[in-house]
Amino acid sequence: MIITFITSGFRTTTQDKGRRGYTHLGIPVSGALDVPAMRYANQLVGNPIDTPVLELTLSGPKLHCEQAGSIALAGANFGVYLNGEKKPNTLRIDLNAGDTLSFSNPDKGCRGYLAVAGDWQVQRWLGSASALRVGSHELLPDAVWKAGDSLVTVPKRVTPWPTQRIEPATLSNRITAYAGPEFHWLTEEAKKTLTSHQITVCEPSNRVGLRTDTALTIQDKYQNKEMLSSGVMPGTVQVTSGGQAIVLLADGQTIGGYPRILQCSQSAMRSIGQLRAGDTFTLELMPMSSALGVLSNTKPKA
Amino acid sequence: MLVQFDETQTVSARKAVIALNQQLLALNLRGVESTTPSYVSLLVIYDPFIISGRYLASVLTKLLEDPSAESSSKEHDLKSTSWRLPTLFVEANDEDALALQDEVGLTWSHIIETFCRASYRVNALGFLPGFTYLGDLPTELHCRRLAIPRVRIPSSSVAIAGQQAGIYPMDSPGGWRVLGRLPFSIFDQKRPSPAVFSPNDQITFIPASKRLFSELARAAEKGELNLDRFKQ
Repeated sequence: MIITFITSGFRTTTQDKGRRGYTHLGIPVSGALDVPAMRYANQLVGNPIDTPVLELTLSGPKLHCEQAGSIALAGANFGVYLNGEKKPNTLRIDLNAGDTLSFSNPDKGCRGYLAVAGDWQVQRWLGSASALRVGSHELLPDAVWKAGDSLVTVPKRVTPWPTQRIEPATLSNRITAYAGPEFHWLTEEAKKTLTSHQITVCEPSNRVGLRTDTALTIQDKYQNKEMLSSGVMPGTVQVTSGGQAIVLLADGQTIGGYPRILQCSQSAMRSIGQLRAGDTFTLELMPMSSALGVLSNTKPKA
Repeated sequence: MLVQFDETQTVSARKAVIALNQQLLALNLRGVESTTPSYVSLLVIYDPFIISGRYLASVLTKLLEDPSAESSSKEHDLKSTSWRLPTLFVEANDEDALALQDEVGLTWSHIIETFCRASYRVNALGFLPGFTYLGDLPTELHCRRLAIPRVRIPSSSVAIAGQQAGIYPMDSPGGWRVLGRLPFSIFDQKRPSPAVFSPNDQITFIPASKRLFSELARAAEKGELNLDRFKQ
């Protein structure tokens, strides 16, 4: 299948499950922020679930189909239009050469995942096709789509797995999290505020992290404590010296020097990745034992 | 999963972090996706659908308790490369250099001499892909960060702040005090492992003349500079 970009949308990038195993070099994992949506879209077109997808942000691109193939969209509820006619989203859509595909902006969530059937002929770096922007540097520039670019996929026969389609869970504004290594640095009042108030996402928020309207206070005895930089990961909630909580996302840095007050649960990550500036959410603190005990004492199979 | 060592025992904790990281990686456990060693902690990122947190915790505990594991945490067993890096230092009348001379109360040549006499250990990589955190900076050179960060610190800059030194992998805004620059890129996406340095490497800097620096920089640009020549 060949698709050409007539317009790019706000920011449309290639994402897959990210480049794992390079955080010791300071390279973030990256990858789709809403992994279940990426996998579901891929299932709909018959791709292996971790095939790259286009991650649409806030507004979608306008696409021209040069060579027939199938696509499917999941994640935020972008409206899908085939030659101007509205199509149900989260269904496979077969395109013919000459068709145009466009999207209306979503009102729930902000990131859509467009799967394109076949093996993606795109550049990879460290095993991943995911775009990564660090400051003003694009480390995989080809993964950021611009008007005039063409995406090429070649047919690939796969045995569908898992055979059953797993629809992503409903997006939730209730984010479950565990106490982080420096949770006890917070004042009692801050701990209370954190779980009893609605939190609003603020600008600038992007794939690096979500900023919030929080003003959390640190106990006096930790005020001037110089923290040695230590590991952080997607879902880590840090508090800046100004008291603002920041939720790190997939392109966030790998080590940080701010207190890590929370770690969001894995299951909440897709909802977090769909939040945009202005959205609100609440935090629910879970005991750490529930993080370790969700699954039994499984040894990895060789 | 985070393994936190005693913060007050920085020297032994740093060795223990590197040792634990290398032992864990040697086990090649499925489900362990990435590890992030830093000063006194090791972050292990794992897939809970493949390996449970409880099992991973028991493996890590065993590695920490096992006396044979302890013996391998001796310095000589840890993978580490020693580097001697030619550095073009900025001129004494450079704006940042003047400010630094004022702050630490040493002349520029004294600052360079003190800086080059010490050997620095790579404590961590992070902040930017490949940004190299180095410790420990000689006490005489401890300095504050710039109050107003520079909009652009060029790639390969060698800089200091607080009790640390660092090397910038790419152009970036930053608040560290730039002392000089290396003639080659320390982060190259074309390499299979893009970062030149690894945690626990040992680095010393040697002043390079402008002529040597441009020679090396030209060779590096053409892809003809073998970095092995800077290894000890």
